[in-house]
Amino acid sequence: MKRVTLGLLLVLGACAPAAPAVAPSSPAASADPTPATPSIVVTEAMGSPHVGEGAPDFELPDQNGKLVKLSAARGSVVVLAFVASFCPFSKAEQPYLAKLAQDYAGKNVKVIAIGIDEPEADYRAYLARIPMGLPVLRDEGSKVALRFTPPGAQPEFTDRKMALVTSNLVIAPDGKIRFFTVLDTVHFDAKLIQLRRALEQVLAESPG
Amino acid sequence: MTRSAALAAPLAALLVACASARGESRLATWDRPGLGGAVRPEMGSPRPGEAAPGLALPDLAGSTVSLASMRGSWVLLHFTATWCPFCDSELAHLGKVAQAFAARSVKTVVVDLEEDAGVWRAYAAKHVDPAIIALYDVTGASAARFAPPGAQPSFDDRAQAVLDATLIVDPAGAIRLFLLPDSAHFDPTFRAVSAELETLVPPPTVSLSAAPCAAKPGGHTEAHVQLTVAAGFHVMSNRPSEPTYIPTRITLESNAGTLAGETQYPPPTLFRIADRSISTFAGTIDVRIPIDVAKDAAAGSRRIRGLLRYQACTASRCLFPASQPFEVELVVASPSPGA
Repeated sequence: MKRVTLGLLLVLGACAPAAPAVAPSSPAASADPTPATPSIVVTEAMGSPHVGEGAPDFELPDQNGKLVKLSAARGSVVVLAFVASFCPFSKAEQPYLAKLAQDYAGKNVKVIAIGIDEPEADYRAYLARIPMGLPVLRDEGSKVALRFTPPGAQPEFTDRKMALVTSNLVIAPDGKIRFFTVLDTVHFDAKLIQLRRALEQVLAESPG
Repeated sequence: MTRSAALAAPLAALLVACASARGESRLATWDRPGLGGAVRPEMGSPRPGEAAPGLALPDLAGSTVSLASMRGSWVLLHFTATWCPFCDSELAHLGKVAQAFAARSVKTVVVDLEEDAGVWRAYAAKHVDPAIIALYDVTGASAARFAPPGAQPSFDDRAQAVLDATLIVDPAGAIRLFLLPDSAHFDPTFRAVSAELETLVPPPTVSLSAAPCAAKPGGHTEAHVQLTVAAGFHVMSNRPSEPTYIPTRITLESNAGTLAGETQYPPPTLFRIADRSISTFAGTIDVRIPIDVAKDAAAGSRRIRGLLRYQACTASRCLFPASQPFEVELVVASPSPGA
């Protein structure tokens, strides 16, 4: 009897698909095809920074020349989006990023975009595309972007900062990273649905 | 005992399920594990199985190259851009794939999307292997026709929806594989595409190459012919085990000035079928054919025609007997002065 059960388990093991299983979506969200969990989450396996760690601090100028410092936003939830004018995925996300900032204005949320590796003209072109009611920081030389790029994200990219283009983070009021994804081209979430879910969760845990 | 029997049925069902899961080639490309970025039929046209849209774009020399002109060949088509980090990581490997499959008449084409021609030319000179046909689509209008409506529906610029996409187009112009980039399983080495090409455009069962040879007038030489039999196949040897089997024969014509001798074959490989062994050739074998050059043979290079005849079999089946012509280059030296 025991032997038969063992055999059954072995067969089941042999059948297990090589590819990781798709994260099950919650039944409540059945109308929304976006999976509950993004498939490329920056976890410890990718190296630092990752979900659960403190976000590296930075200070960069926004489109009006005003310096924005991440640590100055302690006590608020911060949404951080790494954007690039040349990237079609970034372009597709741009209106939804502007909408996100609009929807959460007046709540304890700061939405910040950081332009990666942008010559001045390209950075201005990104800003000119649609009205952006949020700070879009200019990261000259990509020094900040490089500090946020986990070594295990797209390790084939020799230009490391490129692995961070279209990455989105949610940073809790204590400065810890709660949500951090890099681009998933197959399950591309232009509408930032997964980010909004994570944001709601963090807000629910930190009243005020 | 009864419980064991009750378990046996689901066990058998599982075994059957496993067997069909292993038969991946029977699954459509979009349902196959390992092809995460495959275009699915519900994304709309062009789908795998449908005709590839037309494409006529300038190459690096400025000549227009069309996909239609490649009918009759397999085409590996890839969309790229100089700023795209996925594309950049892949291009070096695409050159290797292009080289590997060029011998099987597969044409590899890259199309740069929506960039200044000068930017593309400078980049292509450094990053695109000469085995690749490098085209560019400044407006993206041609590339946009390749974008199924359901592929990246959030992109207004439809050409960008196929950026970094890879297609295999068959000799009749139909799409056989259509992969969009899959950043979660990024493989810049094109492993999945190469495996697909390997299945769609298998190596020839038997191939032959002949090295050039040289001799003086009145002299003697040997033509060296190499025969390669694909893995899993064998051909009958020059002395088959049964009179009804087709022997392998490699012969050269005798022409004015040259006389071909008897072909020298290597020892056979014994292939076991049931309770006996048959005389075959397998893998790569070297064959030599002596050539006598007449004293009055004209100096210079000439091509001597030859013919290969064989029947290839696997352990379980045989293909029809086949013939394949070939040529050997013979260089006859000028008579030495004073001779």
